[in-house]
Amino acid sequence: MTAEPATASSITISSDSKTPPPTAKAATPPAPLAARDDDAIERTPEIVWKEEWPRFRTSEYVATGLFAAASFAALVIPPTETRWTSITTFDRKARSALRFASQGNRDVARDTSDLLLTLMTNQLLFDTFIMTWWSHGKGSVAWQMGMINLEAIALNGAVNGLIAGFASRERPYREACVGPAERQIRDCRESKRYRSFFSGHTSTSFTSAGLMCAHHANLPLYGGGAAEAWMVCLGGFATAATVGLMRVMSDQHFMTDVLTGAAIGTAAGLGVPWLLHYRGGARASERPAKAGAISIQFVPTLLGGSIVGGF
Amino acid sequence: VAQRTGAIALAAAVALSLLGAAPRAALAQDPSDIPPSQGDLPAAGGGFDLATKRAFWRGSGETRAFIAATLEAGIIYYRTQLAAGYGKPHWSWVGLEGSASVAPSGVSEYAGLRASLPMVDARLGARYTLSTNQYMLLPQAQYTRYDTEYKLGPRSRYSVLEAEVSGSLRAPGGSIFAVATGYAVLGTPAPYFIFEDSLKVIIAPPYIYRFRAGYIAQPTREGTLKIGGTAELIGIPGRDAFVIRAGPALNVALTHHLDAVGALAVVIASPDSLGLVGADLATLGLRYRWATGDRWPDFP
Repeated sequence: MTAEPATASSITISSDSKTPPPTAKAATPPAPLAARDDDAIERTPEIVWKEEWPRFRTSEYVATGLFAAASFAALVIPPTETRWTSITTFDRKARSALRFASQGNRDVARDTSDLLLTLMTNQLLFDTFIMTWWSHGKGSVAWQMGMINLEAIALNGAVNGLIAGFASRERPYREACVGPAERQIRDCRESKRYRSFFSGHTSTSFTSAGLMCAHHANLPLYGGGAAEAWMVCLGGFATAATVGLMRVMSDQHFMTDVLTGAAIGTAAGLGVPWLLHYRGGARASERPAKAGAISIQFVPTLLGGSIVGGF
Repeated sequence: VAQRTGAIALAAAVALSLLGAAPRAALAQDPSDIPPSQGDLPAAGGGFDLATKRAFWRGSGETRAFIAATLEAGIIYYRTQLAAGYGKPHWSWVGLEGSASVAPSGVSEYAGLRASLPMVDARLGARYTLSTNQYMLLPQAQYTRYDTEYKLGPRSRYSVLEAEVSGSLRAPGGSIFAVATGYAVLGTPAPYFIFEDSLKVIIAPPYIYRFRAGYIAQPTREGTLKIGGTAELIGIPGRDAFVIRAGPALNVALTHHLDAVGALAVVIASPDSLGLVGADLATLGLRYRWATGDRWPDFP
């Protein structure tokens, strides 16, 4: 047999709760899937969503959906090829100093920025689902973290998409875009050529770094303490800065694109969790219920699904 | 409560609708600058799925006629799989299945027959793939990433007949699995080659095959963590070539219905130099399983 023994179950979102599901009638419900080693849990600080931290609000669910909507809607903004083709002296000098001379090295730099961005977003998911939910057995805290992450990334995506679409700044690699359109690569042929300002890779990386920093500063995911917070914050922002640098070295962006992306990404990544949650100030209605788990059921439908239940 | 639930459902519906609209927007032009690994359709995961079955489903209901679903979302893709059959869903059953995947790089639809036992799985079906930014390729002996981006052929859209058999056995500390898949790509005009989106290789239609094997360790007592490695060989007879890839894979049970999944596959050998485009750098995703007749259906 290849799967685990059928000894476990329980499926409320507050997998922190040990309460068996109320619907179990026909058989003994399996135990919850939570942290596996009780001794290990006792040795580490507990992951707790403090009462003064507002939980993800209904308005935030709606806002996150709208931010995501704006992110995707911005994809269809048509480029205006002549809107922003000028290059500032600062951008020209930075490009001359940092851009790799060979196409091969520029490709490596672009791939590196792609890989690092993927690493950053994966780290967010790892902290949320593997560390918080699975390792610490705190499903409800992981849900809060996951939704905050989604909200900040969606906000950053919306701002980036709309500004990049309407600014329509031409990318620095424009000189390489020669020959018939069908013989040009996608970077030249398609409208992303006119979405230089501001760098989405950079802003998303800084958003991720800010989120990691905010979560680790408030939740002892790896054991807690100032060392954890500082290491994660410094590591995250250093990685994000490397992404930005690689975008200039690969000739994908100008320096002002990257600096703007870093500023907006940092604001979204640190601002959303702190302003809306970690700074506290939860009203009574935003605090978790004292008794009873959140009960939600999911029912797939043709276009996705419905969520029903009670809080 | 009703207002809050309604708002959440509305936001979810908006988000899901937008996921469906994304590739349509990108069809007109490809403005996104998403890394290759984060904009691709989810890779074909044969074999690993079998080795990561959750025994919860063995005891969650009687043998019965059922409808089941598997929903998977990651950065940035969404896949819905629906099944109608008889047996124990997600465990041991026979029936029909269909799936739809959407990502910035395209959409893919699959329908077919499936017979699944705890340790053996077989399926036969047809898949249709429409790429948002990929065009068919003029035949060459070798390709670079840039070669795959030229617009020298019609937009890449094709159908694939697929037949797959996979099996899994206990091994010390975990299990081993193996899967063999045959593909026949239809609907592509001569003489074009295509970049096959789920396998991430350039093929000369119509035939391809894949052998995949791996070991999955279960280091925790409850088996909630499954981590291992896979290697695969993809044969492309029309190019007289093959591709070898290998990498780690991860499956973590968060609840009995919800898993976190992730996989990485890097190219070991290939006639082409596609860089990240030819690799599978899927990010962590969430997979939720649902079925009618489930004794403990609470979400998630």
